[in-house]
Amino acid sequence: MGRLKIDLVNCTGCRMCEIWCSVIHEHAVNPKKSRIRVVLNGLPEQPVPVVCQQCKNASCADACPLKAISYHEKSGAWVVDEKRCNGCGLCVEACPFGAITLHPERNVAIKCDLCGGNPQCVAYCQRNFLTYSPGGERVKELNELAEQKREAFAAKKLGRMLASWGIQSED
Amino acid sequence: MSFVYGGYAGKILRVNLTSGDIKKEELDQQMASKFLGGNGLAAHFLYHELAPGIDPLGPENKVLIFTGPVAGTILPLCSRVGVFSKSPLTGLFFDSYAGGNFAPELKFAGYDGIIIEGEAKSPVYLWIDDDNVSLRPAESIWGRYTYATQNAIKKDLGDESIQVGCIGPAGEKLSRIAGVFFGVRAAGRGGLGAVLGAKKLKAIAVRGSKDITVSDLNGLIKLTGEILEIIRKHPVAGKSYYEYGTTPNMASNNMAGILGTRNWQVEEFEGTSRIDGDAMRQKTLIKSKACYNCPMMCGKLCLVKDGPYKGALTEGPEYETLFSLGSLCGIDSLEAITLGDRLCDELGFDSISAGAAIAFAMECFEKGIVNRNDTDGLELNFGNHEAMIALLEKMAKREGLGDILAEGTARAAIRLGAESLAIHMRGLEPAGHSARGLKGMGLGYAVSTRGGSHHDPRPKGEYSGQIDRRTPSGKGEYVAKINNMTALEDSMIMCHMAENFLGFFDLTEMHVKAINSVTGIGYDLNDVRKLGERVWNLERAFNVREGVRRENDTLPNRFLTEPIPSGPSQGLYITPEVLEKMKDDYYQIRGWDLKTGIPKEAKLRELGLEDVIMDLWG
Repeated sequence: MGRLKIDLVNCTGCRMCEIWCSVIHEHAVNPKKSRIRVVLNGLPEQPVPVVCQQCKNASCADACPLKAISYHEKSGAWVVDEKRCNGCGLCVEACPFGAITLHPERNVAIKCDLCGGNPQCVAYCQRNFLTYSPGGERVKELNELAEQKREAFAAKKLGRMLASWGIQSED
Repeated sequence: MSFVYGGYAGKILRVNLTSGDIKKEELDQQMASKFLGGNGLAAHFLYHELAPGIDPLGPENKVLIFTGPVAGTILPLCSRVGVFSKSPLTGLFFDSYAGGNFAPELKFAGYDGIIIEGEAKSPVYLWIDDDNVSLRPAESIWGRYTYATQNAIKKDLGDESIQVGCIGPAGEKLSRIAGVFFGVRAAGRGGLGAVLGAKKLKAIAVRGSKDITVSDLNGLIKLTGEILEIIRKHPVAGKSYYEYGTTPNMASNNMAGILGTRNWQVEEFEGTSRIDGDAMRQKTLIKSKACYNCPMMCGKLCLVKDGPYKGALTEGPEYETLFSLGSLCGIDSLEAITLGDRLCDELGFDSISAGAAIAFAMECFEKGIVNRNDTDGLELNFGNHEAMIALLEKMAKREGLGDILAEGTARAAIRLGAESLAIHMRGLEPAGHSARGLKGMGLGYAVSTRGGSHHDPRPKGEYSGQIDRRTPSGKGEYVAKINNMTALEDSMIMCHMAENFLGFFDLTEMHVKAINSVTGIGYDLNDVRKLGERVWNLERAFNVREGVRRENDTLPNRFLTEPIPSGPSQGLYITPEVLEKMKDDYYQIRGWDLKTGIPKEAKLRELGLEDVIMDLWG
């Protein structure tokens, strides 16, 4: 599973990811046809880009009765085969993130295909707040993250236990 | 899109609030190529549809909310929406712009602009949902602040993604310095919020789902790539704006001795380091924010983290507000200015004019023209930030002195008998760019359509040192070129911050390529310069018809008679003789009559404005 990673803390809400996604896929600027959508919350707007997480067990693909959503090894993306898709929308219902939608004009589901391994939203993110890790790398990355979290968790537990015995831990 | 040129939606929405009629009109192809969009089209409509002498706050006035052909395309810095009307502050043609997300949404809904006419009986808001357009009751949100108004409308319509432009209490109460607010961005200047207030139009909500397509997508992708690359490598456009926004002007203007301070009595401020860009980064900055499709990201989300104003959250204050609520009022509390910035947005004030009006009142207080009785007990000395905050609220409620100041500095000064202390051009308080310290800005303000606007003339050429700020020579041509550039960019509509990488004082082949790839009209550089000049002359014609003549192209008394008293720019000012000489140069280059300042028949003919000749020359 490849993945787009979003630095939410720093995202400025310029929506260039959304704009370029629709231009690359649809040859027109139209957020409603974009595969990545920037939700602007409240005022001052807090931007939250929402895009497919390329889940390992993809509920959209599982839900598809026509097997129109398949995994693309090279890019690490789940891709909709528009020739098979009949626009039934079961994938839209199945996705927990709202990251798959029906095209407003053509009767097909649309979702992030990671541009075949060279996601243009990432290319146009001017501050590199949107990054891409392809399949293999991502497993390594996630496991490293898990290790860090594990160690932090263990240290915290240990610190509490030592404190309950009246012993100050070194840091 | 069905319109013959790319980028356009091809439709204009005409809404009559008196009758409730809503019409969709086809955009005229010839008008599009002659006036482009935004400022140009709005000047055309307002010139031809408003009779001279009408009351700006009466039902005969109209408000235009327009985008341009480049809005919402992949071209960066093109998110701006313009608001156009006869200003209740100046009584003349006025245009004010805001970034954010409104302009592209209006294009997605299928409209290049909205023309608002008449006057509703009770408060309403306009709801544009693609082809479905309706007026909805707004009694329940009348009186609310601008954030609450927008949130309430989004909730009412059940969609967070809707874009809303609205007025606050200041606009409702017809303050002549009230603006129109789109998200957290303001089309602040000229009192256009009061025009909407008089029409009882609280807000415009829009949602669109249509494509924006352009004439030559591949060409535009290539050009956009080049522009993004230039910006990425640029020290200001690609770095400083992201880190500091426009705030570095505080320190640089103070160092040059041209930072308006204490109602422009002096032009250096000892508290600058407490309210400049570095102070913001250390004390209040959370992160940078961008308008739609902008790689420069000059917006700054700021939060006051401690002290009496703790919790104040706002996008800003950018340079103009740091100047107006800060140095101009002698205030060195970044926290108070941050809250003041949010309050101006929420109440619906133009933060430049509001700060300037308060600074004027502070000088009146210190000179004994108003006293504690007039201020309801406020110690209105320079530097008193609590009084500044309190006065903003009084202005919105139109209480006491606040009621007088809500009319703008010029009217307040007449009321208080303090006209010699009033700093304004045509009624509009100048932005934070010194008329005395920058000769080009001085001339620019004097001949500007809007008066004290920093978007008719631009200060950057002189700030950069590329143009000598101390000499009057050559300023006529310099200002005329910038006017043509800003008028053209305001017609595209493209943010003037593009000057950082496109150049400070002239249109470029880059502008031409951008417009052509979007529209396919096929202009050359001379055509776009002429287009800007045409728009500028049409605005001038509007103002001439309202009575503006050479003698009205002037500066406040202080700038003409009092040299800057101290600091690195000590001694600089613009004597009446110098101003008249610069005006001669300017009129000559413009092809305007030297005696009256009216555009000559030959010039109007050259620009294809034959229909104006009869009005101006009989």
